[in-house]
Formats: sequence, structure tokens, C-alpha cells
Amino acid sequence: MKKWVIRLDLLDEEEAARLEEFFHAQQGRLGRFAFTDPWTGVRYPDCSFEDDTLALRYQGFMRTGATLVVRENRG
Amino acid sequence: MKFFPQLVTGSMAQYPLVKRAVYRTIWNTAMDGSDDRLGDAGAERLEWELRYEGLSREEQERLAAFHGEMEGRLKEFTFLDPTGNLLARSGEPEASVWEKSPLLTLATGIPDPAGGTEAFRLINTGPVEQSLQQVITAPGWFAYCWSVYARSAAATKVTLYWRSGTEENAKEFEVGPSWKRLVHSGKAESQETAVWFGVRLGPGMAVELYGMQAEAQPAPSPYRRTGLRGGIYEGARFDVDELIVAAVGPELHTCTVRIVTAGR
Repeated sequence: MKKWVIRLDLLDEEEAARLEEFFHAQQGRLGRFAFTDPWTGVRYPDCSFEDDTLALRYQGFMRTGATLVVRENRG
Repeated sequence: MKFFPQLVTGSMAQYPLVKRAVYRTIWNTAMDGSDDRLGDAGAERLEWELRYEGLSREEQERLAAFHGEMEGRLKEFTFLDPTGNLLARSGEPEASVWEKSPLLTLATGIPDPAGGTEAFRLINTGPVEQSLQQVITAPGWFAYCWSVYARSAAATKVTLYWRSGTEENAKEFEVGPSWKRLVHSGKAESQETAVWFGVRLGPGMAVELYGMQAEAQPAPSPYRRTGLRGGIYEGARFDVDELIVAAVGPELHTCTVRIVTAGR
């Protein structure tokens, strides 16, 4: 099973809003989605968020950060 | 209805702030690694952690008085999300939350400045002014920033307005063939708790619009498209019973406020 720890900084407000919307659509770690490994370009068709909480840190104008963990599901 | 107050500057919050979306998933993993999951809809909540620095005495007293009035966590209030667009269905002018004058024709699917096709065209086919507007439940006495991208093949004029009670704040803009963000901000004095944000076109005028956004702050931030709901949360509460304010100098106070609302 693979996991990806994704640290995002310098998101603008629109990107942060899109990320939040996607997290809501998944309802935390309940939902399943496809994820493309940014290192290899390999697409993993069945993944989920690791956590039920998304914290968006608004540090300043166009300086929003968040840390996400995406995990590959088994079966 | 009570509303979480703005600062004297007209802002709801200061940087840095944290917004959390919280869900609860019951997750049962089997021996073979597969899993069964069940979402707990009742556990959904949103949290905001607002850190204030440099508050004046008036601002800290206003905040403390509001916390006292709410009796800490006990009472509910309405919170305008400082990270959100207050309008619902901001990219869907055909939706029922938008009130469209009868002689205003609407065409959607127009190329927008963000590279998509979410812009729309309004044409006033009537002999008098026509408008597209949305009403939100929010204080008429707050500072707001109302913004929209606009362009028109022929030079034209568009009026942005917000209205609360009998008070209307309107500003006319000239629009040309290039996309331009029209921004109308300011503060009203109405004591009503309904605010209309709208666009008004004169007879025969046509304009393409994209990115309608209302914010409870003096200046615009990047456009955020909204769905079923905008950034207005009724039923919010303080997350703690105590409010600790530190005086760090004359007219300089700091404090941290945590607000929570059930659902999303």
C-alpha cells in the first residue's frame, strides 16, 4: 500500500477553496478517488484521504497551506 | 439574530487564521486489507481559529461583549466566513437564488477569463433598467466588497449595487471588450439583516459577466465559485467558554477565538 504526504504552501484562495470543496465531496476519508503519483506519473485508481480533518492555514494573501495524506486502498 | 462582529477596519478576521473541515468515518479493516466504511453525518463540522493582534480597546471590548452576550458556547450566532464567497451558486445565474428582471435575457456557457466557460451574457431587452441580484442574510451595517468580472463587445456601462432596507450603495462602471474586475466596496448603516447584491443594466445594454463574489471585508480576494451555499453559517457557536484577551500595549490587544458550526 502506498501513501503520499502532500504539503501544500502558497495556495491562493481559489485553490484553497477547490481543495476544501474536494475534501467535502469525499467527506473526509470516506470517499474514494483516483490519484496520480506526482513522482512517477502512475495513476492509482482507488485512493482515499488518510484523515477526517482538513486544516487550511491562511497565512496571508495567496499564502494558504495544508498538509494532506493520500493512501492507496486495498480491495 | 446575532452576527459575529467585524473589526473597526471592516474585516472579519486577520491573518493568520485556520479553517478546519472535520468529518468522522467509521472504518473497519478486514484481515485481507479490505475495509468497510460508514460516514457519521452528525459529526460533520467546520471550525475557524481566528487570531487577533493589535486590537484597539474598542475592538477588544466589542469582541468581549459579544462573547459575553453569547454566554460563551451557549448561544448560537451567524458567522460570515472570512475565507468564503457569501453568495450561493455564484457561477449559476440561472439558479433560483438569483432574482432576474423579466426583460433580462441570459445566455450561459460563455468563455471566461479563467479559461473555462462559466461566464454568462446578460442583455437588457426592455425599455427600463433590469437587474440580476441575490439576497443574503447578513447585517446591513457591515462593510462589504462586491466584485464581478465584466466585458462587453461594445463600450457599455454596468452598475453594481448592494441594498439593505432603504439604503442602496451603487457604483457605475464603464466596460469594454477586455475582461476587467469591477469592485464596489464600502460600508452601510442599515439595521436590516438582509442584503441584496446586484448588477443593473440600462435599456439595450449587453454585458458578459463572470465570478460574482460578495465578501464581508473592504477589498476583494481571488474569486471562489460556490455551490448550494455561500459562506454564511447560521447556528455557529464559540468553541470555548472563556475568552482570554492580553493587553500588550496601549490600544494593543491580542486574543484567539475559536468558532464552530455543525454540518457544512
